[in-house]
Amino acid sequence: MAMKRKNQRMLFVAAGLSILAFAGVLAFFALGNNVRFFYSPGDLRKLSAPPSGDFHLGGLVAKGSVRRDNDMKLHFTITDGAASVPVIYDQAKYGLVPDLFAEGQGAVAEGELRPDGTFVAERVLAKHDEKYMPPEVAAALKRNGEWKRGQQPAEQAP
Amino acid sequence: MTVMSGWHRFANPTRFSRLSARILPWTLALTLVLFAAGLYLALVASPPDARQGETVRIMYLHVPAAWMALFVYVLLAVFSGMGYIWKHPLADIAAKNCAPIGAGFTLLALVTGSLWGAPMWGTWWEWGDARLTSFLILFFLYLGYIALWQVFEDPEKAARAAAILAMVGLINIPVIHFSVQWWHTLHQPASVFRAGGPTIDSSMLWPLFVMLGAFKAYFVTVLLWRIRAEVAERRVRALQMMQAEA
Amino acid sequence: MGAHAAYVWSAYAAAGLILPVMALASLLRLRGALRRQAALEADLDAMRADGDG
Repeated sequence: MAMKRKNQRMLFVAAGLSILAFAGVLAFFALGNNVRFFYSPGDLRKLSAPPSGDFHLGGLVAKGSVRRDNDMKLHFTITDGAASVPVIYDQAKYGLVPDLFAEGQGAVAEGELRPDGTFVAERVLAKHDEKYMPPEVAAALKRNGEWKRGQQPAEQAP
Repeated sequence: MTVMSGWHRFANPTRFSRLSARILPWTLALTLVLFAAGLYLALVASPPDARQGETVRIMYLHVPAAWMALFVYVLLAVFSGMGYIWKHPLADIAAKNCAPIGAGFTLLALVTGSLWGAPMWGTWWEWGDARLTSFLILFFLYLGYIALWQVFEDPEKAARAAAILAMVGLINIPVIHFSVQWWHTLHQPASVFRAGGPTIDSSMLWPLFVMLGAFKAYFVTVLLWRIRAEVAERRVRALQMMQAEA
Repeated sequence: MGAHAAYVWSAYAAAGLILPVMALASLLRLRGALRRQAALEADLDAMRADGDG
């Protein structure tokens, strides 16, 4: 009798866990694209219309794209390889960008897409990739030309 | 304890107390030694990061705390399942006492993550981020689990209700782990447990592993203290009832 | 580098607060429980000895 009840409970746990896993998979596919912190330029191009109002735009800060105006306006381009979007950010009005913000590195801008295709940011966050190394190693990689190559795949997650 | 067969033999409270009393001095010593070595490696002997500078040192707390928060939750759910199926009080006690320690690790991971995010990302917290949000849910799961134990007078009923919550909450663990792969997140992808090997330089990976060892030894020590305490508390309650009857 | 030192020290201070407090609370709980258990067992033994005598 006790043995039977124990088996019943075991069955109950097994059934519960499998239903839970199934529900999780369903929820994952239902949520899918809604659980995004940012749109990449490539994501935007796939949309029929860009999100209205403020949203997050994320990707790599394109090499050679960062330009600072005399009036503290920061210009740069966010790219994900598939597409790129020019961004303007007013540092005088909204504050300086984080130290980690740099060309060839990840960044997320919050703001609005103007009809002319320029993204006007009110906030800029820097992204860090999964690589951790001391400065000497980074310098050595840079010398060998591996720094740039190693930089790319991290940001191209689906 | 009526029947003692199979693994139940090792789960006998008296036997458990004797065994844990014997290994506790060792785990405590290990905790202290590993923390001393880990802190030295993390704060003094490891290099600054090429991009983050000295701020990388927060990682030696944040990453072990986050790993332990997940590990302890899985362990809690396993103990809960064992307690639920075999109705073994010691498994219930183990699960119950995992929770405050796991909640502590989760809180530490959240706080240190925030302290890293502020100077590096430029933000303390972002609600839309899947990793941050799922980790906050983990904290609430721990709190809910602890609260559920307080709701019921009868420890057996409490154990059953809490065990069900623990097992349902298990779904959050893969969500936390894979959130950085499945969705666009501000949080960086995994650096150590990833296909293709770690992307952390070995001069930083070793201090990280020593700190993880310290966290693990700390967890074992504190968990054993707590289980022994609860076993003794239950014995005290039983003795008080015996005394009242006499 | 120095600009961000406060964040690093704050993180270590948080760990230095949370982990020892948790450990100490657990250890004190164990001490108290073991002391109460020993006292009760001694009481019961004395009662039993009285009963026998």
